[in-house]
Amino acid sequence: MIRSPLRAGIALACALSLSACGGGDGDVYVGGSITGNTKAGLVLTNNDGPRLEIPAGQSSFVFPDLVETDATYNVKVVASPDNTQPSTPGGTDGCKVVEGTGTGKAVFSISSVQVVCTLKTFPLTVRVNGTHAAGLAIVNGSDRQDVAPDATVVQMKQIPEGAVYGVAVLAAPGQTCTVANGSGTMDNVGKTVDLNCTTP
Amino acid sequence: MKKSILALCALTMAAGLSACGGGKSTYTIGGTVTGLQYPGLVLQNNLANDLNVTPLGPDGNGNIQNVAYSFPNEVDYGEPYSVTVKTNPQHQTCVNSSGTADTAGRLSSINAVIVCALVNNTIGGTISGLAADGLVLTNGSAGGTVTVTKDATSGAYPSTFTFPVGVTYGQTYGVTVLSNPANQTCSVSNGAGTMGDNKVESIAVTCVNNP
Repeated sequence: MIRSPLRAGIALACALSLSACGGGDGDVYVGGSITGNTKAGLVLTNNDGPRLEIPAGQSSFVFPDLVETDATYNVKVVASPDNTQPSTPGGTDGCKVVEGTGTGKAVFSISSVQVVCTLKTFPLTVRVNGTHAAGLAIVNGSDRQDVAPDATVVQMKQIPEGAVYGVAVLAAPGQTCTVANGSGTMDNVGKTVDLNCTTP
Repeated sequence: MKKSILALCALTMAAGLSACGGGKSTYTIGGTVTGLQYPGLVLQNNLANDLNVTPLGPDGNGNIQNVAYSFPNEVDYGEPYSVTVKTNPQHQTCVNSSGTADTAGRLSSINAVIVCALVNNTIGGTISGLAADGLVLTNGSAGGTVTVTKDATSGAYPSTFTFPVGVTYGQTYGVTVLSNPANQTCSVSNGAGTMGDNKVESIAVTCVNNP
Protein backbone atom coordinates (compact mmCIF):
# COMPACT_ATOMS: atom_id res chain seq x y z
CA MET A 1 0.00 0.00 0.00
CA ILE A 2 2.94 2.25 0.73
CA ARG A 3 4.10 1.68 -2.79
CA SER A 4 0.82 2.81 -4.34
CA PRO A 5 1.64 6.55 -4.54
CA LEU A 6 5.04 5.60 -5.93
CA ARG A 7 3.43 3.37 -8.53
CA ALA A 8 0.99 6.11 -9.43
CA GLY A 9 3.89 8.51 -9.77
CA ILE A 10 5.77 6.16 -12.04
CA ALA A 11 2.67 5.52 -14.12
CA LEU A 12 2.13 9.26 -14.46
CA ALA A 13 5.75 9.80 -15.42
CA CYS A 14 5.42 7.09 -18.05
CA ALA A 15 2.24 8.58 -19.43
CA LEU A 16 3.76 12.04 -19.62
CA SER A 17 6.88 10.83 -21.38
CA LEU A 18 4.71 8.86 -23.84
CA SER A 19 7.03 5.88 -23.63
CA ALA A 20 6.33 2.47 -22.25
CA CYS A 21 7.99 1.81 -18.93
CA GLY A 22 10.74 -0.77 -19.16
CA GLY A 23 9.25 -2.39 -22.24
CA GLY A 24 6.77 -4.47 -20.24
CA ASP A 25 3.11 -3.69 -20.62
CA GLY A 26 2.07 -5.07 -17.23
CA ASP A 27 1.71 -3.33 -13.92
CA VAL A 28 3.37 -5.68 -11.42
CA TYR A 29 7.00 -5.35 -10.42
CA VAL A 30 8.97 -8.56 -9.89
CA GLY A 31 11.87 -8.51 -7.46
CA GLY A 32 13.24 -9.85 -4.25
CA SER A 33 16.24 -10.28 -2.00
CA ILE A 34 19.80 -11.51 -2.54
CA THR A 35 22.17 -12.96 0.06
CA GLY A 36 25.86 -13.77 -0.35
CA ASN A 37 26.36 -11.37 -3.25
CA THR A 38 29.89 -10.10 -2.61
CA LYS A 39 31.32 -9.98 -6.13
CA ALA A 40 30.14 -8.80 -9.57
CA GLY A 41 28.91 -11.47 -11.98
CA LEU A 42 25.35 -12.33 -10.90
CA VAL A 43 22.89 -12.17 -13.81
CA LEU A 44 19.15 -12.84 -13.50
CA THR A 45 16.36 -13.19 -16.05
CA ASN A 46 12.58 -13.18 -15.75
CA ASN A 47 10.63 -15.40 -18.18
CA ASP A 48 13.89 -15.84 -20.13
CA GLY A 49 13.77 -12.13 -20.97
CA PRO A 50 16.52 -9.47 -20.88
CA ARG A 51 19.54 -10.04 -18.62
CA LEU A 52 19.58 -8.10 -15.35
CA GLU A 53 23.16 -7.68 -14.13
CA ILE A 54 23.45 -7.29 -10.35
CA PRO A 55 26.37 -5.21 -8.98
CA ALA A 56 28.48 -6.60 -6.13
CA GLY A 57 27.02 -6.10 -2.68
CA GLN A 58 23.45 -5.42 -3.80
CA SER A 59 20.98 -7.17 -1.52
CA SER A 60 17.78 -6.68 -3.52
CA PHE A 61 16.66 -6.47 -7.13
CA VAL A 62 13.68 -5.40 -9.25
CA PHE A 63 13.24 -6.21 -12.93
CA PRO A 64 12.60 -3.05 -14.98
CA ASP A 65 10.06 -4.94 -17.11
CA LEU A 66 6.68 -5.25 -15.44
CA VAL A 67 4.50 -8.31 -15.75
CA GLU A 68 0.79 -8.22 -16.33
CA THR A 69 -1.63 -8.97 -13.55
CA ASP A 70 -2.27 -12.71 -13.40
CA ALA A 71 0.63 -13.41 -15.77
CA THR A 72 3.30 -15.78 -14.55
CA TYR A 73 6.85 -14.83 -13.69
CA ASN A 74 9.84 -17.16 -13.57
CA VAL A 75 13.13 -15.81 -12.22
CA LYS A 76 16.32 -17.69 -13.10
CA VAL A 77 20.02 -17.29 -12.37
CA VAL A 78 21.87 -17.34 -15.70
CA ALA A 79 25.33 -16.51 -14.33
CA SER A 80 26.87 -16.50 -10.84
CA PRO A 81 29.93 -14.62 -9.52
CA ASP A 82 33.13 -16.66 -9.68
CA ASN A 83 33.49 -16.57 -5.90
CA THR A 84 30.42 -18.80 -5.53
CA GLN A 85 30.39 -22.58 -5.31
CA PRO A 86 28.31 -24.32 -8.03
CA SER A 87 26.91 -27.80 -7.35
CA THR A 88 28.98 -29.18 -10.23
CA PRO A 89 32.26 -27.76 -11.60
CA GLY A 90 31.61 -25.07 -14.19
CA GLY A 91 27.93 -24.79 -13.23
CA THR A 92 26.04 -21.51 -12.97
CA ASP A 93 24.16 -22.38 -9.77
CA GLY A 94 26.57 -20.87 -7.25
CA CYS A 95 23.56 -18.62 -6.69
CA LYS A 96 20.14 -20.28 -6.59
CA VAL A 97 16.59 -18.95 -6.77
CA VAL A 98 14.02 -19.71 -4.06
CA GLU A 99 10.33 -18.94 -4.65
CA GLY A 100 11.21 -17.92 -8.19
CA THR A 101 7.92 -18.60 -9.97
CA GLY A 102 4.40 -17.43 -9.45
CA THR A 103 1.59 -15.29 -10.75
CA GLY A 104 1.55 -11.52 -10.68
CA LYS A 105 -1.28 -10.11 -8.59
CA ALA A 106 -2.87 -6.74 -9.07
CA VAL A 107 -1.91 -3.91 -6.72
CA PHE A 108 0.96 -5.79 -5.12
CA SER A 109 4.51 -5.93 -6.29
CA ILE A 110 6.27 -9.27 -6.16
CA SER A 111 9.20 -8.97 -3.77
CA SER A 112 9.29 -12.51 -2.46
CA VAL A 113 11.88 -13.97 -4.84
CA GLN A 114 15.03 -14.96 -2.99
CA VAL A 115 18.42 -15.41 -4.61
CA VAL A 116 20.88 -17.20 -2.34
CA CYS A 117 24.57 -17.39 -3.25
CA THR A 118 26.84 -20.00 -1.67
CA LEU A 119 30.37 -18.67 -1.40
CA LYS A 120 33.45 -20.74 -2.10
CA THR A 121 35.58 -21.16 1.01
CA PHE A 122 39.34 -21.42 1.33
CA PRO A 123 41.63 -23.07 3.89
CA LEU A 124 42.93 -21.27 6.97
CA THR A 125 45.99 -23.27 7.99
CA VAL A 126 47.90 -23.00 11.27
CA ARG A 127 51.53 -24.16 11.23
CA VAL A 128 52.57 -25.38 14.68
CA ASN A 129 56.19 -24.62 15.54
CA GLY A 130 58.04 -25.88 18.61
CA THR A 131 57.11 -28.63 21.01
CA HIS A 132 53.78 -28.36 22.72
CA ALA A 133 51.90 -30.23 25.40
CA ALA A 134 48.39 -31.63 25.59
CA GLY A 135 45.60 -29.17 26.17
CA LEU A 136 46.64 -26.62 23.55
CA ALA A 137 43.60 -25.09 21.86
CA ILE A 138 43.25 -22.27 19.32
CA VAL A 139 40.23 -20.36 18.06
CA ASN A 140 39.13 -18.29 15.11
CA GLY A 141 36.26 -16.63 16.97
CA SER A 142 33.67 -19.35 17.58
CA ASP A 143 35.67 -21.97 15.65
CA ARG A 144 37.69 -23.90 18.23
CA GLN A 145 40.35 -26.45 17.26
CA ASP A 146 42.33 -28.57 19.70
CA VAL A 147 46.00 -29.05 18.84
CA ALA A 148 47.16 -32.63 19.39
CA PRO A 149 50.64 -32.93 20.98
CA ASP A 150 52.10 -34.40 17.77
CA ALA A 151 50.35 -32.00 15.37
CA THR A 152 52.46 -29.85 13.05
CA VAL A 153 49.52 -28.41 11.10
CA VAL A 154 45.95 -27.57 12.15
CA GLN A 155 43.16 -26.67 9.72
CA MET A 156 40.65 -24.12 10.96
CA LYS A 157 37.18 -24.10 9.37
CA GLN A 158 37.37 -22.78 5.81
CA ILE A 159 36.18 -19.20 5.22
CA PRO A 160 35.04 -17.26 2.13
CA GLU A 161 37.21 -14.93 0.09
CA GLY A 162 37.07 -11.44 1.57
CA ALA A 163 36.18 -12.64 5.08
CA VAL A 164 38.43 -11.52 7.91
CA TYR A 165 39.98 -13.96 10.38
CA GLY A 166 41.89 -13.75 13.63
CA VAL A 167 43.50 -16.80 15.21
CA ALA A 168 44.10 -16.61 18.97
CA VAL A 169 45.33 -19.03 21.64
CA LEU A 170 42.48 -20.23 23.84
CA ALA A 171 44.46 -22.49 26.17
CA ALA A 172 48.12 -23.49 26.48
CA PRO A 173 48.61 -25.21 29.83
CA GLY A 174 52.14 -25.01 31.18
CA GLN A 175 53.63 -23.20 28.21
CA THR A 176 53.62 -19.98 26.27
CA CYS A 177 52.16 -19.97 22.76
CA THR A 178 51.65 -16.99 20.47
CA VAL A 179 50.22 -16.60 16.99
CA ALA A 180 52.29 -14.65 14.48
CA ASN A 181 50.39 -12.66 11.84
CA GLY A 182 47.22 -14.30 13.08
CA SER A 183 44.79 -11.80 11.54
CA GLY A 184 43.98 -10.90 7.98
CA THR A 185 41.55 -11.16 5.08
CA MET A 186 41.05 -14.38 3.12
CA ASP A 187 42.17 -14.44 -0.53
CA ASN A 188 41.13 -16.93 -3.23
CA VAL A 189 43.87 -19.45 -2.42
CA GLY A 190 44.23 -19.87 1.33
CA LYS A 191 46.13 -18.36 4.26
CA THR A 192 48.66 -19.79 6.67
CA VAL A 193 49.50 -18.45 10.12
CA ASP A 194 52.20 -19.57 12.58
CA LEU A 195 51.64 -20.83 16.11
CA ASN A 196 54.87 -20.66 18.09
CA CYS A 197 55.17 -22.44 21.42
CA THR A 198 57.93 -22.41 24.01
CA THR A 199 58.02 -24.55 27.13
CA PRO A 200 59.80 -23.04 30.12
CA MET B 1 -17.62 -10.24 33.40
CA LYS B 2 -16.97 -13.54 35.13
CA LYS B 3 -20.23 -13.40 37.03
CA SER B 4 -22.21 -12.72 33.90
CA ILE B 5 -20.59 -15.70 32.13
CA LEU B 6 -21.33 -17.92 35.12
CA ALA B 7 -24.87 -16.65 35.25
CA LEU B 8 -25.32 -17.39 31.57
CA CYS B 9 -23.87 -20.83 32.12
CA ALA B 10 -26.17 -21.56 34.97
CA LEU B 11 -29.14 -20.37 32.98
CA THR B 12 -28.15 -22.42 29.95
CA MET B 13 -27.62 -25.54 31.99
CA ALA B 14 -30.80 -24.96 33.90
CA ALA B 15 -32.65 -24.80 30.61
CA GLY B 16 -31.33 -28.27 29.82
CA LEU B 17 -29.26 -27.14 26.91
CA SER B 18 -25.59 -27.93 26.39
CA ALA B 19 -23.06 -27.00 29.03
CA CYS B 20 -20.77 -24.05 28.43
CA GLY B 21 -17.10 -24.42 27.43
CA GLY B 22 -17.40 -27.84 25.82
CA GLY B 23 -18.90 -29.41 28.88
CA LYS B 24 -15.94 -28.69 31.14
CA SER B 25 -16.15 -26.61 34.26
CA THR B 26 -12.42 -26.55 35.04
CA TYR B 27 -9.38 -26.22 32.81
CA THR B 28 -5.78 -27.44 32.94
CA ILE B 29 -3.32 -24.60 32.46
CA GLY B 30 -0.29 -25.80 30.53
CA GLY B 31 1.56 -25.64 27.29
CA THR B 32 4.95 -26.04 25.67
CA VAL B 33 8.49 -24.88 26.42
CA THR B 34 10.77 -24.75 23.38
CA GLY B 35 14.57 -24.57 23.33
CA LEU B 36 14.99 -25.76 26.93
CA GLN B 37 18.49 -27.23 27.41
CA TYR B 38 19.37 -26.74 31.09
CA PRO B 39 17.56 -27.39 34.39
CA GLY B 40 16.26 -24.71 36.71
CA LEU B 41 13.20 -23.31 34.91
CA VAL B 42 10.35 -22.38 37.27
CA LEU B 43 7.02 -21.24 35.82
CA GLN B 44 4.11 -19.67 37.68
CA ASN B 45 0.43 -19.27 37.00
CA ASN B 46 -1.09 -16.03 38.31
CA LEU B 47 2.17 -15.33 40.15
CA ALA B 48 1.79 -18.46 42.29
CA ASN B 49 1.77 -22.24 41.86
CA ASP B 50 5.51 -22.76 41.22
CA LEU B 51 6.13 -25.45 38.61
CA ASN B 52 9.59 -26.85 37.84
CA VAL B 53 10.15 -27.75 34.19
CA THR B 54 13.09 -29.99 33.32
CA PRO B 55 14.66 -30.40 29.87
CA LEU B 56 14.22 -33.62 27.90
CA GLY B 57 17.60 -33.56 26.19
CA PRO B 58 18.17 -33.89 22.44
CA ASP B 59 16.17 -36.29 20.27
CA GLY B 60 17.69 -38.90 17.95
CA ASN B 61 18.65 -36.22 15.44
CA GLY B 62 20.32 -34.04 18.06
CA ASN B 63 17.50 -31.47 18.10
CA ILE B 64 16.29 -29.92 21.33
CA GLN B 65 12.93 -31.41 22.27
CA ASN B 66 9.89 -29.35 23.22
CA VAL B 67 8.75 -29.94 26.78
CA ALA B 68 5.03 -30.16 27.62
CA TYR B 69 4.01 -28.90 31.06
CA SER B 70 0.82 -28.48 33.04
CA PHE B 71 0.00 -26.96 36.39
CA PRO B 72 -1.51 -29.51 38.81
CA ASN B 73 -4.37 -27.35 40.04
CA GLU B 74 -7.07 -26.69 37.47
CA VAL B 75 -8.73 -23.34 36.88
CA ASP B 76 -12.47 -22.71 36.81
CA TYR B 77 -14.22 -21.72 33.63
CA GLY B 78 -14.04 -17.97 33.17
CA GLU B 79 -11.09 -17.49 35.51
CA PRO B 80 -8.11 -15.59 34.14
CA TYR B 81 -4.77 -17.33 33.90
CA SER B 82 -1.31 -15.92 33.27
CA VAL B 83 1.80 -18.06 32.90
CA THR B 84 5.10 -16.32 33.64
CA VAL B 85 8.74 -17.26 34.10
CA LYS B 86 9.70 -17.03 37.78
CA THR B 87 13.25 -18.40 37.47
CA ASN B 88 15.28 -18.87 34.29
CA PRO B 89 17.12 -22.14 33.71
CA GLN B 90 20.91 -22.19 33.99
CA HIS B 91 22.65 -20.44 31.08
CA GLN B 92 19.35 -19.60 29.36
CA THR B 93 16.71 -16.89 29.19
CA CYS B 94 13.05 -17.82 28.69
CA VAL B 95 10.27 -15.49 27.54
CA ASN B 96 6.52 -15.73 26.95
CA SER B 97 5.69 -16.41 23.33
CA SER B 98 1.97 -17.01 22.74
CA GLY B 99 -1.17 -17.98 24.60
CA THR B 100 0.29 -17.33 28.03
CA ALA B 101 -2.53 -15.14 29.33
CA ASP B 102 -6.25 -15.49 28.68
CA THR B 103 -9.50 -16.54 30.31
CA ALA B 104 -10.01 -20.25 30.92
CA GLY B 105 -12.57 -21.67 28.52
CA ARG B 106 -12.35 -18.99 25.85
CA LEU B 107 -10.27 -21.36 23.72
CA SER B 108 -11.03 -25.08 23.52
CA SER B 109 -7.45 -25.93 24.53
CA ILE B 110 -4.82 -23.94 26.37
CA ASN B 111 -1.26 -23.92 25.04
CA ALA B 112 0.89 -21.32 26.78
CA VAL B 113 4.16 -21.30 24.83
CA ILE B 114 7.44 -20.32 26.53
CA VAL B 115 10.59 -19.92 24.38
CA CYS B 116 14.07 -20.42 25.84
CA ALA B 117 17.42 -19.51 24.30
CA LEU B 118 21.02 -19.65 25.49
CA VAL B 119 22.23 -16.37 26.98
CA ASN B 120 24.17 -14.14 24.63
CA ASN B 121 26.64 -11.73 26.19
CA THR B 122 28.82 -8.96 24.83
CA ILE B 123 32.61 -9.08 24.87
CA GLY B 124 34.84 -6.07 25.39
CA GLY B 125 37.48 -4.52 27.57
CA THR B 126 40.02 -1.74 27.85
CA ILE B 127 42.28 0.12 25.44
CA SER B 128 45.43 1.89 26.54
CA GLY B 129 48.04 3.94 24.68
CA LEU B 130 45.94 4.44 21.53
CA ALA B 131 46.96 7.69 19.80
CA ALA B 132 45.96 7.34 16.14
CA ASP B 133 43.18 6.22 13.80
CA GLY B 134 43.12 2.80 12.21
CA LEU B 135 42.70 0.26 15.02
CA VAL B 136 40.36 -2.55 13.99
CA LEU B 137 39.71 -5.53 16.25
CA THR B 138 38.04 -8.74 15.10
CA ASN B 139 36.49 -11.72 16.84
CA GLY B 140 37.39 -14.41 14.33
CA SER B 141 35.55 -14.61 11.02
CA ALA B 142 31.95 -14.56 12.25
CA GLY B 143 32.05 -12.54 15.48
CA GLY B 144 32.15 -9.08 13.96
CA THR B 145 34.70 -6.28 14.08
CA VAL B 146 35.20 -3.07 16.05
CA THR B 147 36.77 0.01 14.49
CA VAL B 148 38.05 2.26 17.27
CA THR B 149 37.72 5.95 16.44
CA LYS B 150 38.21 9.27 18.18
CA ASP B 151 35.27 10.69 20.10
CA ALA B 152 33.80 13.41 17.87
CA THR B 153 33.33 15.97 20.62
CA SER B 154 36.16 15.38 23.06
CA GLY B 155 38.72 14.41 20.42
CA ALA B 156 40.01 11.67 22.70
CA TYR B 157 40.35 7.98 21.90
CA PRO B 158 38.10 5.70 23.94
CA SER B 159 39.50 3.70 26.84
CA THR B 160 37.01 0.87 26.45
CA PHE B 161 35.47 -1.12 23.61
CA THR B 162 32.56 -3.53 23.14
CA PHE B 163 31.85 -5.75 20.14
CA PRO B 164 28.44 -5.11 18.56
CA VAL B 165 27.88 -8.84 18.13
CA GLY B 166 27.42 -10.95 21.27
CA VAL B 167 28.71 -14.45 21.97
CA THR B 168 26.39 -17.30 22.93
CA TYR B 169 26.95 -19.31 26.11
CA GLY B 170 29.51 -22.09 25.55
CA GLN B 171 30.93 -20.60 22.35
CA THR B 172 34.54 -19.50 22.14
CA TYR B 173 35.74 -16.01 21.24
CA GLY B 174 39.16 -14.76 20.28
CA VAL B 175 39.86 -11.07 19.81
CA THR B 176 42.83 -10.11 17.64
CA VAL B 177 44.15 -6.94 16.00
CA LEU B 178 43.02 -6.94 12.38
CA SER B 179 44.52 -3.54 11.59
CA ASN B 180 46.96 -1.42 13.60
CA PRO B 181 46.66 2.36 14.05
CA ALA B 182 49.04 4.58 12.10
CA ASN B 183 52.60 4.36 13.48
CA GLN B 184 51.49 2.19 16.38
CA THR B 185 51.39 -1.53 17.17
CA CYS B 186 48.68 -2.95 19.39
CA SER B 187 48.53 -6.28 21.21
CA VAL B 188 45.70 -8.10 22.94
CA SER B 189 45.92 -9.88 26.26
CA ASN B 190 43.22 -12.06 27.77
CA GLY B 191 41.63 -12.01 24.31
CA ALA B 192 40.36 -15.58 24.03
CA GLY B 193 37.93 -17.55 26.14
CA THR B 194 34.69 -19.49 26.32
CA MET B 195 31.50 -17.54 27.04
CA GLY B 196 29.96 -18.05 30.45
CA ASP B 197 26.88 -16.53 32.08
CA ASN B 198 28.15 -12.95 32.25
CA LYS B 199 29.45 -10.39 29.80
CA VAL B 200 33.20 -10.23 29.25
CA GLU B 201 34.91 -6.92 30.02
CA SER B 202 38.43 -8.13 30.73
CA ILE B 203 40.02 -8.09 27.27
CA ALA B 204 42.97 -5.67 27.32
CA VAL B 205 44.31 -3.92 24.20
CA THR B 206 47.64 -2.13 24.60
CA CYS B 207 49.08 0.12 21.90
CA VAL B 208 52.66 1.44 21.71
CA ASN B 209 54.32 3.80 19.28
CA ASN B 210 56.45 2.17 16.62
CA PRO B 211 60.20 2.75 17.12
